[in-house]
Amino acid sequence: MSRHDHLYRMAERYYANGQVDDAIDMLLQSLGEDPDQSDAHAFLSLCLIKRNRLHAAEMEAARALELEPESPFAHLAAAIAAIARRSLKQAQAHLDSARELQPDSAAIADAYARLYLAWGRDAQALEEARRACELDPDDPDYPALLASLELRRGDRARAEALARDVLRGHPEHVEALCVLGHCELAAGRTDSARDHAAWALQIDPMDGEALTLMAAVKARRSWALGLWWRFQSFISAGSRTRAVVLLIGMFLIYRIALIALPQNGLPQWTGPLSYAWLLFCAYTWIAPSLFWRSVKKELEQVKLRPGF
Amino acid sequence: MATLPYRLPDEPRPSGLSRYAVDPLWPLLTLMLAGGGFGLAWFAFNSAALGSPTRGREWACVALSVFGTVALVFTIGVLLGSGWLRPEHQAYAFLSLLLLKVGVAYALYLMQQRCFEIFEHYGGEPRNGMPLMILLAVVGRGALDMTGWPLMLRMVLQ
Repeated sequence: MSRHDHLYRMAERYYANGQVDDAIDMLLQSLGEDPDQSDAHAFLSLCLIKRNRLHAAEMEAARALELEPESPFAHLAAAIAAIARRSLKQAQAHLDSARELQPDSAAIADAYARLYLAWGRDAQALEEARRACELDPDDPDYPALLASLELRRGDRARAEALARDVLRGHPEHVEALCVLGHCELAAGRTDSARDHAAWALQIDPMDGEALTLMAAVKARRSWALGLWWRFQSFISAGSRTRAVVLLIGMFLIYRIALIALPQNGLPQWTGPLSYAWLLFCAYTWIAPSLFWRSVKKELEQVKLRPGF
Repeated sequence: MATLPYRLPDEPRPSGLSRYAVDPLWPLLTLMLAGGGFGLAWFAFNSAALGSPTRGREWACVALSVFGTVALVFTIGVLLGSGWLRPEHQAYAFLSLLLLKVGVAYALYLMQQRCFEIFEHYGGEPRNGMPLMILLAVVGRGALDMTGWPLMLRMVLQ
């Protein structure tokens, strides 16, 4: 086995265990010695997506494609990077190319499912997730995604069964833990849902789905923090440009109201409006730190119950 | 032969100014509290201090904010002079200045924030920007308000 192969295998092992930073280090070492390895660039792109470094991920996927335009893995990495950046049409083009090159790939079916999920085409997403499970029944990622889609369409029993199946073989599977947590929450078992969220966050503190579950649990317990989380989710759903446009739009509406109220004979409303805006700013300033402090506290306290 | 480390395209480029790098939140707050002049200057400097890979784009944003403000003030003046803009709508038209400044500030903040996270990840130690922000908001802003500079310059700096 060459040194590149050794580093690549190590990266794969780290990635499978959720040690994404270590996987990145291995791939950087390998590329430092030979920067012309398409697979290493594509794999690095997948690692960078996990770390939300989307610009670099896109560049790495592009480099992989440049080196090997007929590589299904490079097309797959480019597609996953495009989904993360919400360039869904571009992602579809890459996935179509990848499927032409490798029609029976479960990973490509899984990526299609995630693309359709991002697009809101749930039926097609479900179909692709089922196809991924059929193509590779041993990989726990595909039934976990299927469980998440079943939960999304309201079949809680099926979602729970699938998630439990995954967790039986892979008790640290974050996506399956989150699905089961959401099922517990929907059934009114808040404590159990909290345990699942905390466990998932201990495995991967940056996982978006685990954070969403923990937020949903906290929202069930405290309306003030729940309100902030809902606001935050609304603002940050989609691209960063959308978030900025929304925030500036709100500020602009406030400033227009400050001018328009006195001009329309309602100067007495400018004071309360300013105080309301000030309160809103203070709330959005304080709420995130309160929220994260309380999540941190939860994580320190968590002890798994026997039989979990 | 030693190999060169592979460098990712979003990683900060180390510079001699790294010890002055701050969280971009401070230039953003400075822009809001002390005015566009101080905030933009700090953003431009922080871009160099962080070694931001997008610093060219960030400096272009700073230029857009400065020259865009001049262009907007000039346009509003012309529209008012020609009667196309009624005096009671002047206050709304001037909101476009605010929109441009805040929009550019957010764009700069987001560009630098990503670079700042990676800067910290690789062991970079940022300075606390709060004392300078308070100094600029209290003393700098006050000094700016007392100066008798031309309207156009004040519009850019405030």
